[in-house]
Amino acid sequence: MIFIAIILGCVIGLVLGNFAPIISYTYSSYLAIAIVAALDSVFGGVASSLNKKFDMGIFISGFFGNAILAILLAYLGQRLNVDIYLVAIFVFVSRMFNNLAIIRRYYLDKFRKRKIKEAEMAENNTK
Amino acid sequence: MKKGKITISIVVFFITVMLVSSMFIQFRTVEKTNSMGIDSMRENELRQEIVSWKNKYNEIDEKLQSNNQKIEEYTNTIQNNQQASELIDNELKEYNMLVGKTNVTGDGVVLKLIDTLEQSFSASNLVYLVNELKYAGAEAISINNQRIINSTDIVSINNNQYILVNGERIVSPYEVKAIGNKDELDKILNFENDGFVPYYRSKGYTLDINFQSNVKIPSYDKEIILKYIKEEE
Repeated sequence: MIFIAIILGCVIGLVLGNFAPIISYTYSSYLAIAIVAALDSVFGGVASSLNKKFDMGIFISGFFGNAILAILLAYLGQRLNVDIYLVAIFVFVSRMFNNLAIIRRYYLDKFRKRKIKEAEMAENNTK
Repeated sequence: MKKGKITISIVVFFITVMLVSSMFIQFRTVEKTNSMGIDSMRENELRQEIVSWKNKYNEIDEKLQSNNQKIEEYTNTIQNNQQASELIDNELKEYNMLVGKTNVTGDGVVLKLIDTLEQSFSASNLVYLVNELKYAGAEAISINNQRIINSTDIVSINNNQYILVNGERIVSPYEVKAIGNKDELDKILNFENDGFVPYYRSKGYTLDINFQSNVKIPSYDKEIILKYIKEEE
């Protein structure tokens, strides 16, 4: 069910994105940072769902809140002539790596446990 | 449990749509503006561009100034040439006037010599008159609108039957026009007893003398060709 939603969302998003008007270059850096923040939230959501700690409220508020906050910070950085958006990207990307590591470990654990079980089963069979 | 899953699916759907569409918008934006346009340049790039344009501008400005200088020089030379050619033109006009290649007008005298049954004018009479006029300082002379120039011949042919001036036959009445100082002309032509007018009148010739302020004398209408003379070096 969720996978169907994801695939459907990808297809419709692709079509929408291809037909929507492009934005001016000045604002494209803000959109880029919002995209990075949203991706971070998505990976965070996946990681937390794997740990059985997924919360819809946290996910949605993180998705929109982080994106908006990132845009605002980038804007502030531009006004202050400090490249805050670089720091925001750094933070989001490092968190993305963390979450990816959690996901990777989860599946690696799962894979190893299955191998061990299979080995035990084989041992039992030979006995 | 099932209701929760449906809401989660819907939320995930919308979030995916938003994420993917915004990502694709961004892709296209970056792709479109990747080419070097001023809109897509960052501040540093713009600065560099301005500096390079300024350099180019300065270079071109220098070139322009040097070109302008050259143009000024050329115009100066042209002006000089123009002045020279004007001078030459004026000289040419003067010489043409001197030689008799121009129509001229001025104060002078008009003589009308009329042949009668008793007395008729000969070519030598006309030569004498022209000589007198020249002596009186006439600057331009014509007989029956034949301009008298340096090479003009006044000859009689066939025992004084024809008179040729400039190779053209002329007949009575002979109208002799001369431009010059009226007083001088008057003095010489009407000189007591010896002057042309009293002398010929006393001999029975018919002639009119008429001083005018606007005598018109036409130009010599043939070509002046010099075949044999050369300038000595």
